[in-house]
Amino acid sequence: MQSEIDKIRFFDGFLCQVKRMKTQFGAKRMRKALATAFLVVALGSGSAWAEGERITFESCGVCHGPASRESSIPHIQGMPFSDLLGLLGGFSADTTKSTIMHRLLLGMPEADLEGLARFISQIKEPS
Amino acid sequence: MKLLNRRETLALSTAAVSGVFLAAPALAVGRAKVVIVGGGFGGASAARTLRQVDPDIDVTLITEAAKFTTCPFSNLVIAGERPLETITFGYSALAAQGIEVIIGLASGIEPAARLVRMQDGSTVAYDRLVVSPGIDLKYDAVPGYSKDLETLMPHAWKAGQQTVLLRDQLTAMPQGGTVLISVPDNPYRCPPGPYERASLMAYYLSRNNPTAKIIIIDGKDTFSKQSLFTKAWDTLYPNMISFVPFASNGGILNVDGAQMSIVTAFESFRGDVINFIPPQKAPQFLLEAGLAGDAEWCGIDQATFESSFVPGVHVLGDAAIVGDMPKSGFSAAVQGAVCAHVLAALLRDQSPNRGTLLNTCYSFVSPTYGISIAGVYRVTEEGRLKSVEGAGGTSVADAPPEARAAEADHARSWYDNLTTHLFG
Repeated sequence: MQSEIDKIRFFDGFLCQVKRMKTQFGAKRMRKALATAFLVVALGSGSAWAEGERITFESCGVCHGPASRESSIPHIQGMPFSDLLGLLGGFSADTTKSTIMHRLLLGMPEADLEGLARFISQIKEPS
Repeated sequence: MKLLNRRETLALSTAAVSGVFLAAPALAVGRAKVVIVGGGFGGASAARTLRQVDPDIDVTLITEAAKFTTCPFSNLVIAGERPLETITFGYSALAAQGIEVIIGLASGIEPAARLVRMQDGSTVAYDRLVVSPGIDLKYDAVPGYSKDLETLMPHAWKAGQQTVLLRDQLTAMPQGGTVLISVPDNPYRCPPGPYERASLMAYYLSRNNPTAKIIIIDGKDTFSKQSLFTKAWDTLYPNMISFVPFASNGGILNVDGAQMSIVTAFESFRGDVINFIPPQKAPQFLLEAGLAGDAEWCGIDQATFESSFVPGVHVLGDAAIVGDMPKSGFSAAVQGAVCAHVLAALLRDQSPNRGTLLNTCYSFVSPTYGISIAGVYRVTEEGRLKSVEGAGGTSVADAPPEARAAEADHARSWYDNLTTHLFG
């Protein structure tokens, strides 16, 4: 997983520091997000919310492939929730520059970012 | 034989409280059938996603040829950077997943009987139909131009032999020759495609025919990623590419095969190679089935892709008007996947969920210089699939060379991932 984070950090030659973002988005927000995630898990995967994220992830999966596939685009499926939330939050707030991702996530509501990060973190691929 | 639709089947299942029907989903009579016409990005994506989302739905894919050559990356073939085989895919992986693949031409739709009519006279029954067959070229829309000229002046806007033809004409062009690229007004398949093509032709010519010229005769005044393209052209291919907007050409009056010329209202252009990209419309058999009303592109419910005119038929990809989404392979793949989720829900009598849809159109200005335009789309309360305000947009204007190289790498990774996902 570390190599994938490195790849994201290197994403397009711009500065993208996962650690800095973790600090920036703070422990409070992280706790809140985790609480939301647990709530959604408790509600079960059949909730409308989860299905909406599954549909949104169909767009993500056009570029972000499985770990088995060689790619310059980071493998994100199954990454830790907090790392994902930090990345998505950074792109959405436009504090993390990249070639593409900040354009796709700019201004996405925080609840959607958390839901998406949770969904992606829970994707399990056949090993 | 009358096929039970999913609604009737579910009613039966509910009536059989014991659950015997539910325990035997392989019963042919208990399975809904989705038929998909079109074996490109949209159709293949719908088929594979449906298989994944609900294995109890039978999926049939009707495609006109045993192999599909992608329009994305075909400009790299024209520039001699990639063999045609590397952008050509078959359907064996889909068949191996239990998708019934029919190679043949669909020629009509009978919505009342829920049948697709094939050119060979056979019919294919469906509970719900997805059509994603791409475009037809309007051979009769420009004076002097006709299908007879497509060998002399390849459009290469449907990839395959046309792509090879244009590549070979470019390679054989005399030193110092002129390439004309004629681009139609909007809407057409792949808005930035003609300008990527000009770029990659220039990449080839700058190395093999450095005194050659490329003239773009356009049916509009501005184009996708224009400032990014023109800035890169000035740097990479100075004085090689000229853009003649509609305002400066006044429209095409005549295309002359014998003279190898395009006559516009204001000027006449002679080419050694002419890439004539004609105007386009939804395929004729969709228009004949009434899927476009009085128009040339298919109107749909932008949340479910269901036709505005014919119930039970869902249209996506280049043939449809999908809100603000452009006619691109990326868009079609996303729409196919989302439509699969919609169909699985509808066939279970559930209301479909909504998500966010994305598109990214990468263009190569050279094999190591990539630029892109991205879009984010959501269905509004009025049911329109609209661009999310503030999101999306193009690559930044003053990005360093490493960023352009990274985008070129991302474009290759995007292509490899998507084509493997759909066809591998």
